[in-house]
Amino acid sequence: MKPQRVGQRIARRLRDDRGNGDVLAMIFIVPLAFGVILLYSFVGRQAAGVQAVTHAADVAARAAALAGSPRAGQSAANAAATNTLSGAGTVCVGGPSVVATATAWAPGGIVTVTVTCTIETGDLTAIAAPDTTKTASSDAIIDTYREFGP
Amino acid sequence: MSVVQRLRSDDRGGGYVLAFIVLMSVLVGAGVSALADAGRVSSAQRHSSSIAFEAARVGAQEVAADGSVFSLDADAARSAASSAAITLASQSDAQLDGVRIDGDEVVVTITLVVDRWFPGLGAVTITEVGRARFSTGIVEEGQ
Repeated sequence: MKPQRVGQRIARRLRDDRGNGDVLAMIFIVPLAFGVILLYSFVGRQAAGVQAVTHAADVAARAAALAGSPRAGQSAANAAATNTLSGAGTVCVGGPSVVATATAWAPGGIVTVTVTCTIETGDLTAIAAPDTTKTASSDAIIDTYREFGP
Repeated sequence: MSVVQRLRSDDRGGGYVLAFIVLMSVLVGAGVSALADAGRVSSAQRHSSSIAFEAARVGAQEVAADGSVFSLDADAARSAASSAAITLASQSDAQLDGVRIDGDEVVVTITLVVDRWFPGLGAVTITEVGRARFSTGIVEEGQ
């Protein structure tokens, strides 16, 4: 073959960029899309965690206000918050922290329960997702005609 | 121009890359803000509902006694429910919208405004209603 024709063939091959887009997609876009999906999963998990912790605080406050003593109130708050978070599928690293206090552990007193949960993101290490801590507080008022002891 | 120089100066597809980067940035930002908004709005709904219910419970415990006949003291119930709602809502941005006495039932309405992060969407006002009924003859939990 004449050298001139070989040169023309090589030049034509160099200009031919068919398939370059497919290669670019495989190398760049697919991992990026995977990363975006994981990012959405992380943000969605945070949003669900906020809901769950808030709801857990509400339920725990009511449970504590219905209990018959401060100790029973703290125990009821712990159980209610743990069960609520478990039911919502929210996993807290080391379990949730539940603190129940009251203006007065007597009828009419306001019980405040604070729930703190460090949401686990161990399965999202591909995007270096950090564990995040969510805290929520809720109040409940002890019934007027409820027997309440020490 | 040599082959190497031609390859270096070839910017075909550069516009597509820029458009892709811009489009992906917008989609990711919109998706993240939409997810975050969903969680915040749902959380606000649950919390407002809890406040309304707790305040209604307080109001429904106001008893008016006429001999051996017991009934709901409407004025005291309205006052107690309002006071409770204001106290419970003070820990957040929730507001008491109103207390209504419907027979022997106390109805408390709580509103809460949530500013959404999704671009272009304004704030949303959440309204939750809590109800509690005055009852007699209850001698143990769960009745």
